[in-house]
Amino acid sequence: MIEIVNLCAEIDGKPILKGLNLSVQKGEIHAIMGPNGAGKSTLAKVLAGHPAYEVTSGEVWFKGQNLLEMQPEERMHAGLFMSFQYPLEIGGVSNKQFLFIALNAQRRAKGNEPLAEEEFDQLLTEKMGLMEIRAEFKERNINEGFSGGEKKRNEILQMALFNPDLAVLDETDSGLDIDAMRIVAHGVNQMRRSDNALLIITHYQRLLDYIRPDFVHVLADGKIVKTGGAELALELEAKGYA
Amino acid sequence: MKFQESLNNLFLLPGDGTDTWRKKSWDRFMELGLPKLKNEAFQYVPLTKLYQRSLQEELLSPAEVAPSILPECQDSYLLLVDGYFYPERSKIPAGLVALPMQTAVKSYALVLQNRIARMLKEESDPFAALNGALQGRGTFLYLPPNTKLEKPLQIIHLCTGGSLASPRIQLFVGAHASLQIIQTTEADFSNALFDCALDEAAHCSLYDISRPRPTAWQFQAIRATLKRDSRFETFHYTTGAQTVRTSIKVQLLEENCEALLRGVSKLTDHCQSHVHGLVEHIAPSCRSNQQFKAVLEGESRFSFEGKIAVRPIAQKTESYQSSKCLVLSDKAAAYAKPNLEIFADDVKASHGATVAQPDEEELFYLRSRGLSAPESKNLLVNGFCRELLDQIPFSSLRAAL
Repeated sequence: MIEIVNLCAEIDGKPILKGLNLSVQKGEIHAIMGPNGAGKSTLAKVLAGHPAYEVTSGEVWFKGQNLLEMQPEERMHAGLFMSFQYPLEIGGVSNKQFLFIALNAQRRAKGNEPLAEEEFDQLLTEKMGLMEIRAEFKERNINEGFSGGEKKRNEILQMALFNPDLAVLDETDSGLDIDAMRIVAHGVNQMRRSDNALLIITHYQRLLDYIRPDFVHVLADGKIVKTGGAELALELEAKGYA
Repeated sequence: MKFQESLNNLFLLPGDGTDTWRKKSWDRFMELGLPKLKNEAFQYVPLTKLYQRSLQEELLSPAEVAPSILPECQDSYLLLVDGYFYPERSKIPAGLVALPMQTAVKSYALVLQNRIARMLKEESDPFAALNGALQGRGTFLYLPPNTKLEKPLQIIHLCTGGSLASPRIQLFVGAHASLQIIQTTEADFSNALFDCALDEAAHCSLYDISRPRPTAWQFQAIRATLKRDSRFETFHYTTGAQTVRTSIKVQLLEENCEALLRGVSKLTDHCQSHVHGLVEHIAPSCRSNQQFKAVLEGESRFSFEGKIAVRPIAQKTESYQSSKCLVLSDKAAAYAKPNLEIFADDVKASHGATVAQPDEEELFYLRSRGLSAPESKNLLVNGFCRELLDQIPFSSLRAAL
């Protein structure tokens, strides 16, 4: 699915990723854990194509394509989705309008007919039901006045609509209470297929109670320093990263 | 008779020394009257055909005017061409008195004289003063007390030539009366004045839409005085031109009145839009808000200079002002100059001005969801304007903007 080879990236001249290697296959769930400042969120942003980060060396292959040569929207169209740690609030644009435009941009890029507004509305209603998001959130401006938990649920709602091959969840669990976490995890688990994959970036082990990873990696100082199974997360929780 | 009405409209005194002569000639003409069909001296002249003619129809045919009439206003509009009001070509809604100024100065002499004397004394904007001097056939509007116009009234300003048009609207809204006005201006060179006197608990909303050619010059002055419990709202939308300059002055004369001034300028190329606003709180417990936004592309220019003046007596004033500009090009420039002049001590007032480029993080968020860079930018720009545009209550207008 994705092959990250010796990836180095910096922001404002400051190196953050320092030779990161990671390979994720179809059907797998990988978790990346690590202390603050290790480069976890940077990895997510670099994969999504954030313009502020400069890749200084290394390669990323996504479904056989050179990801680093693609624009952020092309990455999305190719099937990569990143759930933001801090989803942005955008005034004057309703959630529904935004999702409608975004979904149809993706469909067009894939050569599919765009959805009619009615069809889209049905789909949206269904997915909002899955994420237990109230109907009024359709007409609200993107993330405006949403609580932290609502924003995160809105991210996973987008994931459900776009149905990506690889989803990168950047600290989706932060700011979620237990109920919201259960809803989010349930939503994510519903989307599991044998041919898609998940990369979960998290500080804590608790989300992994709900979404069980096949592999857990420890990221420290811009590199993967340790890899293990789901049990590694429990070990880290007990002993810390040191 | 259309022809006679046309002549009435044509008769004006230029004040160049020929006035007395002209006036006497006109009186003589009126005394004689247009010849009757049986008048022997004209018996072979096809008078019937002549009398069916309206001189203005040659100026602009109904077909030429039709595209400017909004769907909401098919039965409720005033037509002004080159600054001249054409009542016979207007559809004046029931309940509203709409007269050409030269008629109104006879029947509503006192109210007009007082108003105009006040304006002459106080006016500090040279273009507003110039309008009074060069005004075309002005429009006198009077909405009697307790009258509520159900449908919006459209004021259509059209122009036929490059000469300076000076349209003028003198509006008097009686106690507890209310109306909504949509003003659309298609002029290459105009200097308009809209004056509104609101009596107790009266309400007037003015939606002012100007999308001129890029070469146009449009000056406009909006003046309003508010009595107790009244409310005055304006919304100015423009795409700019060589210059679109809007000067607004609102005086809150008595307690508990409210003024809301808003505007969106969407500028491209070399277009310019300038807003000059003044709200004077002259009485206690009044509220005012000024909210202006501009989106600038190309080498466009926008400026907002807004002043809130609170007199010592105007305690419990609430007055806000904001100017927000989204600049999409390095060569565009936006200026903001907020002014607060507060002489009362129990006042809530604020002003804010921002000039910014589209937020990189927001753009990235939208692009990461599959929108192209231009689509993302458009969505942000539309979102930026929508906050204000959504306050326009007419769907066809909102859609067109």
